[in-house]
Amino acid sequence: MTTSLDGKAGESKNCSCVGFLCSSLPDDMLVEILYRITDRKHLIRLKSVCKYWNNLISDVCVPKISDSSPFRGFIYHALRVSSRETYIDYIPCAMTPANAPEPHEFVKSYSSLLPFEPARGDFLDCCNGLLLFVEGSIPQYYVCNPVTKQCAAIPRDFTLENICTASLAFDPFKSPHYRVVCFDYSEPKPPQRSRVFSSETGSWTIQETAFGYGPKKSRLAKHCIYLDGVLYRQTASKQIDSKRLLCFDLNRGNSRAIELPEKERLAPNDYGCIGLLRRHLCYSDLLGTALHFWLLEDRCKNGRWTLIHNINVDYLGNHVHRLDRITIARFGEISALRPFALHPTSEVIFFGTRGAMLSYHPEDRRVELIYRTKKDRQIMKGQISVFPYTPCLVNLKDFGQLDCSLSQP
Amino acid sequence: MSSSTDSPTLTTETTQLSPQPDTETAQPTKKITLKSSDNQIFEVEEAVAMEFATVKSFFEDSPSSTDTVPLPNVTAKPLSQVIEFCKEQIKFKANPDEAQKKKYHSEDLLDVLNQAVADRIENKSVEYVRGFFGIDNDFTAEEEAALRQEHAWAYEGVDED
Repeated sequence: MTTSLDGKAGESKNCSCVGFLCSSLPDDMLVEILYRITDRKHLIRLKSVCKYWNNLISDVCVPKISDSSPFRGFIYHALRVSSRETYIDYIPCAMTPANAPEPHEFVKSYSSLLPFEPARGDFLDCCNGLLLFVEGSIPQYYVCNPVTKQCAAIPRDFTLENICTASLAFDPFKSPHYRVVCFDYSEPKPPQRSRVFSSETGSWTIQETAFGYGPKKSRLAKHCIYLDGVLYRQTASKQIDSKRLLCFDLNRGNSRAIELPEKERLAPNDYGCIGLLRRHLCYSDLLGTALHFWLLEDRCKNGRWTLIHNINVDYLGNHVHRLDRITIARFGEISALRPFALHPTSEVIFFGTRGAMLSYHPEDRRVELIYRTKKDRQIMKGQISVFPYTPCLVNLKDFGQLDCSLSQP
Repeated sequence: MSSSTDSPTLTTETTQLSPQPDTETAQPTKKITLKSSDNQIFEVEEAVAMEFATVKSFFEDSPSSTDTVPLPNVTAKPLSQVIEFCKEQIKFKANPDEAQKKKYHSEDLLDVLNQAVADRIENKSVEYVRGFFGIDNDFTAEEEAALRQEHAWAYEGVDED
């Protein structure tokens, strides 16, 4: 009565049908399954299943997740007006209750990873989930991942005296390795130099840039954007000519400048906001009475800015009455609005004044209040910018005890 | 939201693909008998059965066969669900109405299965997952301990299993 095929099935154990199917799953399906595990910690624990899974999770699942990771919030520089004291704080993307402890729990959690108490100036950058800090006169750099609760001390380069303006170049979608890029201002004329630490090689290299980025730190925005091997950084100064976007190609070791869109009409002494939208470089700035939003096309060659959206400040003026009076009072003048940051995966522009952060959704022209500062507090803006934070699952290599580490596969 | 309002219609070209399972008036369609590993018999229309790669290749090998097709890798319960899914899928293929398209695209069979497997291993111990997938642990105790230490953050607040 039973066919031979049935007999075969009967031999195997309970639930074997699923097991049979799963043990012969192609990689892409296994990745699809693992990708759907909502508890990311659990996914990381499943690296212990076998060596194959360990590699598959590190090499395929984590980059895939990194690319679609939800955007969490902003790290920003805050000012206590009465005491002129500055500090680092965090705004979660979802609105927090007004009585949230200060600084935010998130700041406390990453600060506890560092071997020192970070002051405002010690925080340098936040790039795709990793944070960069500096300490001391011969700079000691630290890279933290708040998700994995790791802090890596970057080996010191003793020629790096007094250079503490640095950025992170990290893209977990492309590579689990990161680079720390330090800009050297000691040489006022071009070629100027930058020093690059690679977590892959564990060593520093020097890169020269073909043009000068000026003798003063103050002309460069603190915040860089990293995309496909290139670090983008904006300059601003009273001279209109210097409203540019500097591009440092870390792989090829060259650099160039891209003119910002409509640079003659941009506020000469102020900074716009650069950001990424679905792996395109974008720029947002106030032009006259409208907040503009451009996308850079053909960025590898000539670069061409395409205007995607503009929001008239008058529209905002009409709109904000829906928010409460206190908010409007804190806005100060509408003309004080600046773009703060761009949403990495959707077309949302975050902007505001010293007293409030709002989001604009061009799709349906919706304006939402993200955050309102407490009395006596301000969001610092301009050269010091607001850093979007998106968590990443990438483990950091420990350079201090490289020899003791058995585990790097 | 208020997209196409046209009611889906079956055209003559597509009748062969969509055997309208709810009406008995159409010409009799060929039925195929499938048997699950727990010996349950399922009689389905040919078009539905041909959605199964296994069944398709069975008939490609012996086109004139009228035998029952044994499916030793699947028990009755999931098989009945998959059959239902295939019926819906065929209906959809015949009427790729925009509104429906959205619904069915998100419910691709593979998606459903992947999600089902992911749900089965969500919050299960590493040992359970190894058993579930029939995987042997090829780590030494030292390697496994090192891996755990390296990812200590992922084990925070987790009871030992």
